[in-house]
Amino acid sequence: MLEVTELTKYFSSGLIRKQYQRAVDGVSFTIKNGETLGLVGESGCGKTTVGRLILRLTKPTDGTVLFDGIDLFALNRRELLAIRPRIQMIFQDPDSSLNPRMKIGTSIAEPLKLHGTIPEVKRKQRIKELIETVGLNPEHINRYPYQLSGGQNQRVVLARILALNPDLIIADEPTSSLDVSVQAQILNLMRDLQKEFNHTYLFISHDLDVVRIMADRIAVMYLGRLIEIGETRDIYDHAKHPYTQALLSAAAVDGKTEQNVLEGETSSPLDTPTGCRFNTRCPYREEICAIKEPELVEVGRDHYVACHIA
Amino acid sequence: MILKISKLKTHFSTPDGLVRAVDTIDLSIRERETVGLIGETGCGKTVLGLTITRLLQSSTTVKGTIIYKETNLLKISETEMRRIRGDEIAMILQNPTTSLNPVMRVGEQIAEVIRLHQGLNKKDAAEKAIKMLGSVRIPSPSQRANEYPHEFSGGMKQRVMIAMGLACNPSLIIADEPTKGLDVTIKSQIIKLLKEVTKEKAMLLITHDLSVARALCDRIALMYAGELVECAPAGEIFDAPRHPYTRGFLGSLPRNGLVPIPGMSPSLINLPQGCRFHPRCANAKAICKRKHPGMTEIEDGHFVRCFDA
Amino acid sequence: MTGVKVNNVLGSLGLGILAILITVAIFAPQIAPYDPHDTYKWMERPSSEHLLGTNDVGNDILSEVIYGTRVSLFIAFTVSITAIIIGTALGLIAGYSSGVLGFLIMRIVDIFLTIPRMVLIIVLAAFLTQSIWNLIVIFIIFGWMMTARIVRSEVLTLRSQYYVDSAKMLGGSDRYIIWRHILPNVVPLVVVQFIMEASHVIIAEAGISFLGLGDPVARSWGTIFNYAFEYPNIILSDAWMWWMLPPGLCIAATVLGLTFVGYALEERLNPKLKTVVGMEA
Repeated sequence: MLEVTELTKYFSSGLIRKQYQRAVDGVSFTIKNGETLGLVGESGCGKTTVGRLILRLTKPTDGTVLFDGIDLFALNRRELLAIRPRIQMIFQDPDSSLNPRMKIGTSIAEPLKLHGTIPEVKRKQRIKELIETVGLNPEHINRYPYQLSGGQNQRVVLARILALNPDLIIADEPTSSLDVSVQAQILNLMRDLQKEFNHTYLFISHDLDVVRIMADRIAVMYLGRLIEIGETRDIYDHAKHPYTQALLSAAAVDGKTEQNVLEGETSSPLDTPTGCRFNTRCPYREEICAIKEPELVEVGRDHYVACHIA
Repeated sequence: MILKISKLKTHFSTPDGLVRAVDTIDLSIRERETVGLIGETGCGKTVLGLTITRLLQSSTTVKGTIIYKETNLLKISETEMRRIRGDEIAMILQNPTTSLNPVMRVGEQIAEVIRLHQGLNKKDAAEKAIKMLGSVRIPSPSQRANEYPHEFSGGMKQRVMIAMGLACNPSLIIADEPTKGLDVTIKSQIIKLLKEVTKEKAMLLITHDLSVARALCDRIALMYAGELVECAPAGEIFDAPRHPYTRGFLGSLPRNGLVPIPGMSPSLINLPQGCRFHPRCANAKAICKRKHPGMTEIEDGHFVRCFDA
Repeated sequence: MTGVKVNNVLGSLGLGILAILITVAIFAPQIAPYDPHDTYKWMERPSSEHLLGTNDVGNDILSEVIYGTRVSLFIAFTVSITAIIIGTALGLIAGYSSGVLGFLIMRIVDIFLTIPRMVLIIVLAAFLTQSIWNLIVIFIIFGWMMTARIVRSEVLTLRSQYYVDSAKMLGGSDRYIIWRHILPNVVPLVVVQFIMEASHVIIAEAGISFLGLGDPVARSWGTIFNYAFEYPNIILSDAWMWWMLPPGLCIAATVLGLTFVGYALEERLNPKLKTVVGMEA
């Protein structure tokens, strides 16, 4: 379905002394039809950039993305406009995902109008159906985004995406700005919709608890590199990379068990360490880690890790 | 008892109507105890913190009493309150980026607080500031004291905020979402630091993050629509929650099965009649729509606001 | 909340002033008692025949001022509408494309902004033939930059909003996104900018005409003022009261009206100023 190979993005800054920020550095993964891949990492690891690169909202430096066999980076403007409806993105801030001057109904009608799939007379009916599918009231159609809560706006975003019936949905922290009880509503809705319409998800999040529920497979990123990828169960029960282990331990706060607290902070992407990018914080560091950058190696069925000592 | 809040009401009047942000709250904190105040966006928990430190606009109506040690904080003058705010009660706010002055060295900012409240001279205050930075585990503190806030990462800034709060050796800390916006690995570092700090001091931890509360709190109070709905030792909240909201809140966590609470929190302007939770409650009975339940102690130290508990 | 009410009152007041002035401008031939070019006895004091007296060549001053409204407002609105359209278009292009084209536009804006505009306008007006069309063109040339700059920075902010990304993902073309999502959100700024530009032009035109560089045939308020000022010893006689004061008051009233409307509109169109500062708990 989606095949990402050696995806790379360097941001440059400064006019005279150019500095390169290696936001995404040679990331490869695949997503199968109907599957959810969770992409996990801390702020600044490049996970959002990966999503935007796939959609070509950001220009890639290098790499290829095959979507259903089509090379997305080789498309011209017109071909890109034609394929975009098949891949959709949900952003983390539902309130700014909707034009504040457009009524909810107008926002949902947008894709229908743009693609003219449905004759105008039937559009109203379709909007009503969509709005009910995502659990809102038809009376919301005439409201403005600021009159709705964050959770309701995220439902509107989902309704609009459903209007296009896309194959792949990239969800970038879709619930990070919502309260837990509302988060549960939205995540459940997304799972139900996935079952009903056979969506494929790339689910980007920093919250391991959420990803565990949503994803079939999980990919972990650190400083622009993919460091571990495998089935959700394998990652949770047999994480091999010390960083993945630390993330899991940090998320499992219960006040009783002593946590394995990771010292130090992520280095700046402007100045990545040589060798393994994690070596400056790694409790098991050995000599080779500072010299050679580890490649992803298969350590179990469909379970890959980039670590010299795992 | 270091802090005893009784019948506290904080109301704002807005053009849309009266906002009952804090509505008849009783809560007390013992010496060296950490109490978690948990609630979702718009439940009034931040307003409660600001009411205790009297940092609200003067147009707000505040009723009830807040007894800190022996003083009623709502009765004393602004000058006395200013002394208490630094010396006795420290406030650690969310978003350290906007709480630090960007054009002042970090060490100077802490030293300034120390000089204001403890009357130390410049040199001693600067030394104490460095000591404080060291105590919140900032590496090479004497060097970092000379740096500006933008040279600090988010986690390090939060450490600076904690150091600043602790600089005058307060006995009560009010921490409002101290880990918001931090990465998981950094969050656990801050939790570890706060855990050390609260061995000596009392803390009111205001947060929506149950994992943080679980790691730090002795007792937990849940706030819904301006009032407390359940208050009990932390273990009991997690193992034997009694209020339907508490149960729903816990159940909606991804690791507890992601069962959402239907509907959404009411606006603080237009509160439902009877029990404020009844429109979202699966067990709502006729009485719940009519009568507003009071807080009842169902077990030793376990209070619930529900007819059904 | 009293602030909103005060602004509403001011806004209506401003709107009222502007409405009267615009009516006067449109129906000048019907309202004016005489043709401003007809000559009568010169330097008459106000009388029932000539409410504001006559000037040094015998034109009825009231009729002159009424026709002057036409000229002054025509210049102000033509200039500001054209300058705002140019500025908005260039600002949209510069903000949305941000490539070489955007860079070039912004450098041109920078160059124009470094030119002391009043000085250059005076110099140009002095060299060119004295006609209102020349004045209009000169004002337009120096009137679009601030709008371009403000619109560009707003577009840059809007472009990073998720709803613009979403529109792209829905398959919207650049043109669609600009028309449907960017432009409507820029309009409030542009309207306020239009008002500011109009009141600027009113004052600047009066200044230019006062210096004697206005169109001698189509006399604006500034030109009337200038002629009065050049009459020997005008200040020593009482004539200034009916010859200089009326056009001066008209200029002041127009600027005041525009300013009041601008305040009220800014508040009404900017949702950020409208929202009540509530508590975020």
